[in-house]
Amino acid sequence: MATKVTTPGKKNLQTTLEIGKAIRAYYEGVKEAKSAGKPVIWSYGLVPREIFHAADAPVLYLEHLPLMIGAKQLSGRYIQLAEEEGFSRDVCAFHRCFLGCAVAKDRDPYLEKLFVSPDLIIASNLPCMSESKSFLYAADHHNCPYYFLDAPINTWGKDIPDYAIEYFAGQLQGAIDSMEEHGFKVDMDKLKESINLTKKMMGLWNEIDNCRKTVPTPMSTVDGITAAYPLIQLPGTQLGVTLFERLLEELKEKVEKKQGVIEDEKLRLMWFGVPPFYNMGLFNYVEKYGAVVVKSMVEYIAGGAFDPSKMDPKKPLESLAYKALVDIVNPTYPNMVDFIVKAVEEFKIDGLIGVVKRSCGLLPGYMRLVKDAVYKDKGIPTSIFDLDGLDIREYDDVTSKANLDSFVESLLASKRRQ
Amino acid sequence: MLTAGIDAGSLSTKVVILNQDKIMAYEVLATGIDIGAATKRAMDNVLEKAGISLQDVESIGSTGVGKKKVPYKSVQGTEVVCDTKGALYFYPKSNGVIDIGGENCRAIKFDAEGNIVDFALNDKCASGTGIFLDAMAKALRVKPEEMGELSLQSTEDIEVTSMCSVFAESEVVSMIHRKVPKNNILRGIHKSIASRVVGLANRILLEGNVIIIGGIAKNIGLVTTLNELMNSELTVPEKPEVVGALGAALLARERKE
Ligand code: SF4
Repeated sequence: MATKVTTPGKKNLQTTLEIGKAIRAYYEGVKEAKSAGKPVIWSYGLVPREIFHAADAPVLYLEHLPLMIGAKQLSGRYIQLAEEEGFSRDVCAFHRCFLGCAVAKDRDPYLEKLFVSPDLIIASNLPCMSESKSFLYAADHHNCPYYFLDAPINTWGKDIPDYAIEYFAGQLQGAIDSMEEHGFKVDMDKLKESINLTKKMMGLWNEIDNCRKTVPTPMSTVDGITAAYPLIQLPGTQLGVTLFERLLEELKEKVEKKQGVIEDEKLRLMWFGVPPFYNMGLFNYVEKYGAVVVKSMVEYIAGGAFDPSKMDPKKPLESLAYKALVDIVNPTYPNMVDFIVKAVEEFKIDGLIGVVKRSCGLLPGYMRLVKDAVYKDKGIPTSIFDLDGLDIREYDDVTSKANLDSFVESLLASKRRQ
Repeated sequence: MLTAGIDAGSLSTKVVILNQDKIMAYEVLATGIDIGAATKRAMDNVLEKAGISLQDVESIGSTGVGKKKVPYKSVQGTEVVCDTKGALYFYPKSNGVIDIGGENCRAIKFDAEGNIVDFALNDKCASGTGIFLDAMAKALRVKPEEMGELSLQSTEDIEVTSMCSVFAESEVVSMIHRKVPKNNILRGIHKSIASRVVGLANRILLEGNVIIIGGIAKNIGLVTTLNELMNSELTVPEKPEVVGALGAALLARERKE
């Protein structure tokens, strides 16, 4: 029998298990809708989900599907299929994975449960341009219409100018028009209501983050990544609000009882880059040293970095434009760097782990800047090493653990000396 | 206090016996396929050289890829921590280490108190490590220990551009067919490894008093090339291959105290 080096992450919270159930129910719902003859949308990244909920549209999110496949250790198989289709290894592994799923003739039972073919594809250049071409290929393969939302690249810094908001709101209107053209009806009252719910969710998420900033932390990123799911697929929904309310309640109780993820919390770490979805146990690996990965950047990419007071139900499209454009992955360096530096301080982080996914055209570029800024401003070190969080074929357990061991040991040794 | 340090590497196993601050004896032998057996043999030999028995050793430290498999109760430390301790033992004024081992290469930057400021390990690619040099020695039919000297006799600078050791081997074979002199090929090979190592060192902005350790530090050709390419003063300690094991012994002593 082959020995597996990868392990699933160990969760600590009851609510994240419930969120896991909500994820499964969501996919079942999409599948049922398709079987009942409803059209299905494929979308990706930071296309605001609220417009889909306002149309009751079943949507398959293609950044989420690969990580579900990854968690079941199946990503390698579909990535390989995309390569056999002619996609280079230099194409983003997320894209190769969903393209592999899209073109597969034989899908294993797990993917079969999640997969539905598209009737409309809505892509965007947020977080990155790779989508424009990968989705075109998928649209061509499935012979379905394709709409591309063009997000202006952040060249302005922190305060988004009105012209950028207006432009992206116009793009969102275009997406709505395209949906209506292809059999979906976007209910504008529902959209306005969803802005209120998103506002509520963001307020709750900020409170959840505040709980996580306490020492010892009641929630590690193993739970955090699952907990970020409602931000990805359920913004603007009552279910999203309810799940966050429950999570906050659970965390508050733990904070009050001073119940940490681990008994004796010695080190607090932050993860920068794509998490190892096929081996989430790697986050738990450092716990033997008394270290806990408190937060990871991917939780912010899910949309957790904005001021809820900017959500105005009277201006639904502008609010959604703000929410998308302010995201830290909008390709401008200073915002992301400042954001991480601030998070390192607020979450009382002792060390940052940066993992480079070679096939990503966006995130590795941030690493050096973040590393230097975090060290210069806060005196906190960063260890950067190669780890593709999705392509399991690229994973090297020995090297990854050697990097983690060395980093954690050196942090502990410095702490001992202090 | 007598302490022992074990560095269970992928290609060679090193054991050092330390009496207070003095190295009493050391042993280096090939690891082979059984790390436990190799460590035991190395330990028996070094104890005999030092004229002591295992019971005299108060504490043992271990490091290296095989540290979890050593058949003694030991304090385990990562290579990064042990290399740093060993380096500071030899050169208290040093502020960095480059360790080129059989399958691994690492660059470490530390401060005067021994705090590790930054480090970088090679990824899973073997270029820039000892095993790459061994493969090239085989392709060129020269003894690994002669490669360095021969490379210094080169008459022309040539480039070995492949980063992957498998492709580099094909590149070298094609040069042999083209009758490129061996010394020049060897110089190209050393430059190719050195540029990978310098790349690793640059990632952590390593400069200043850097010592180079690991078995490969005995290769004069590589050290010369590294000196040409790096912005640092590179020093090779007397026993470069046992610095990690020495660091493990120091770690064991520290924990005991
Ligand atoms: S940001 Fe990187 S990982 Fe994400 S889709 Fe783009 S290339 Fe892929």
